[in-house]
Amino acid sequence: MKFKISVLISFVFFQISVGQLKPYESHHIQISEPSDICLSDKDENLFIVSDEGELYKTDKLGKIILKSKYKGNDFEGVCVKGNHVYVSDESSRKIHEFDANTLEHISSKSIILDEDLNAGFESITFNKKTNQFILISEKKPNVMIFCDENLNVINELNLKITSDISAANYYNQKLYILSDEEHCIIELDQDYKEVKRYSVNIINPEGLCFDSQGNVIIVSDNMESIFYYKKLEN
Amino acid sequence: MKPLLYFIIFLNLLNVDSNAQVLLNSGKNETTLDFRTASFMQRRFDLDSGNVSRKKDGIFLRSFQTIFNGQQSDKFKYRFAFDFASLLTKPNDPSAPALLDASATYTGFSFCNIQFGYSKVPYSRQSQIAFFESIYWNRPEISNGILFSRRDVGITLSKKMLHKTINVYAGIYNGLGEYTLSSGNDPSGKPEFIGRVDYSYPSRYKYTEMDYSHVPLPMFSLGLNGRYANKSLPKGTSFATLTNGEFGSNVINGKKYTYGADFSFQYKGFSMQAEIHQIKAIFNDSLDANLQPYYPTNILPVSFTKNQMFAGGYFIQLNYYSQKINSAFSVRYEELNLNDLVNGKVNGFGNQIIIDGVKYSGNAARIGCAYAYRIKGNTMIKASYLYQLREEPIDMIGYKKQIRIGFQYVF
Repeated sequence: MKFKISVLISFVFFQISVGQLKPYESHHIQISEPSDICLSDKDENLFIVSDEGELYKTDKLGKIILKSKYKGNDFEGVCVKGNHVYVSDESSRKIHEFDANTLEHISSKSIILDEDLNAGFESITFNKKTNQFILISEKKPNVMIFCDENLNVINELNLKITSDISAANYYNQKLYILSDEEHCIIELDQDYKEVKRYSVNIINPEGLCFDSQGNVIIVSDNMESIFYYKKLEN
Repeated sequence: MKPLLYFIIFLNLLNVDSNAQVLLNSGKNETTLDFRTASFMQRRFDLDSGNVSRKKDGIFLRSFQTIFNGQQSDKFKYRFAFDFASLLTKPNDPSAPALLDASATYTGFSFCNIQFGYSKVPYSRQSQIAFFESIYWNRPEISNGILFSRRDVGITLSKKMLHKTINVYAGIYNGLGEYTLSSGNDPSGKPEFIGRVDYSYPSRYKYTEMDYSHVPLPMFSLGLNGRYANKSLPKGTSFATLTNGEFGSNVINGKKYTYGADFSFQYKGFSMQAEIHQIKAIFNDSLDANLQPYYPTNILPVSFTKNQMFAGGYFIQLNYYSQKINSAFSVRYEELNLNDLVNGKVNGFGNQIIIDGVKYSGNAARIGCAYAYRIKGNTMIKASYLYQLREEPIDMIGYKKQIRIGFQYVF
């Protein structure tokens, strides 16, 4: 609790002065090196993955409810599609499918990306409108891979917007990406061009998702905390 | 200067696309394999009179490392790291030994991790920073292994608390440092104890120099560490050759207390590190070479030396990383006192140290600066410059200025 107050004091001091996004709530989580976050379809639970290859189901405050028995190498991205959770295992280039209720491992599929071992897919998200998964690599070039709902590759696109991408998520049919090095959320249009940036003063932000109200949830790796922000103003 | 020019042109022609880290995976066992190499060109200027050899000017292979990091289920991790560049030249040199790591860690207990084998000892934050993480070609002298060892065989208990903002380490080691692998048994039969605690705010703070990600909140880390060894030799025995270290004080016949503190800060690309260490050595033999630096010309009485010697030093380093031009800049100031009996006390005792008309007044001091162009990750072109402000009579460097420029490649 003491630590949480100190974090919030830091935010008040450094964010008000530069007019950046302020979290209205933050919670420490007992997950080591969290790397991405997403919400279940009905906003009931969070799914959080870690650099240590672990998948957790938590309540909305980040309290652990369930941990998957399956352990991967380096989980970096997570998204939900219906009753299934999909996780990007960066170094092995695999996408793992889990049951959203039990976190039982269902299947794995390899998707080739000819980059460094630790420069695989940093994020995975699902576009409900097009029924497509989008996988994005972390560093320049940021490669977007479009897959159908069975994870078959359909298309590929290079993004040249930011120095790194640590997470991506859809809200209201718009794609938002999170940059760790540039400490911001970037809103993209349908042609994947930058529309607007929102500065986020968090050390090592790694995961991004939205609840049904549009509130923003970010998870920080170094701080091992989740932060809630009010809906982004366009 | 022509070779230097050719070297720079060669570096610019390199098309770096590192892609060689390897993952070996079989069920619950996985191992990553990394390769790193670094070479530099060195030139020294303003050599001392009598120092006519230019053998230190040339191109050197600093490092060619192979690193295995493995994991077996959730319970065991292991690490094996080897530097082929040091194998034939200086396999036990604390600053760049051939064997870098051969250790296993049991992570199955919730209250602490247990590491056993040969690895870095948890003393000095700067010593923990990997060479390939630094934009300098040299570590500060104080953390380079000339006053205390950087690696040893032993057992380390570690615990990370409060979201890794507090890290605690405690261990027991042979106490012979890097030479423990080649020097055979220790006649004293006594170990060395080492402990360290560091606290970071507002989040965990890795052992790095540069703020590559321009953290948006100020971060700092404060560390305290200490080590103790009582290696009293039985009569008629001695430590194996070289075990004592370059200046004879790494391992001593007697009690050695070493304690230090470090501070690190980073914010929006700016970062700084500062570190200070002191050693108190109490010798069993009043004629120990450390107590008698002017033997046989002058023999210092026990009433003066009290059979003890102090040594120590500090450094402060300021850095900035520009994301726009992928460039890192740094300046560093450091002081080192290898033996207080050589400097202040002896001068006070009536033996002024005057060499070539220069009076040596105390600590050695030097200032350095470094620049690195970051190509990808820790693949960098690095240039560093050193200027010796003062030297110690027992450590005559032999030159005033040194420049190193080179390339390190992380596969």
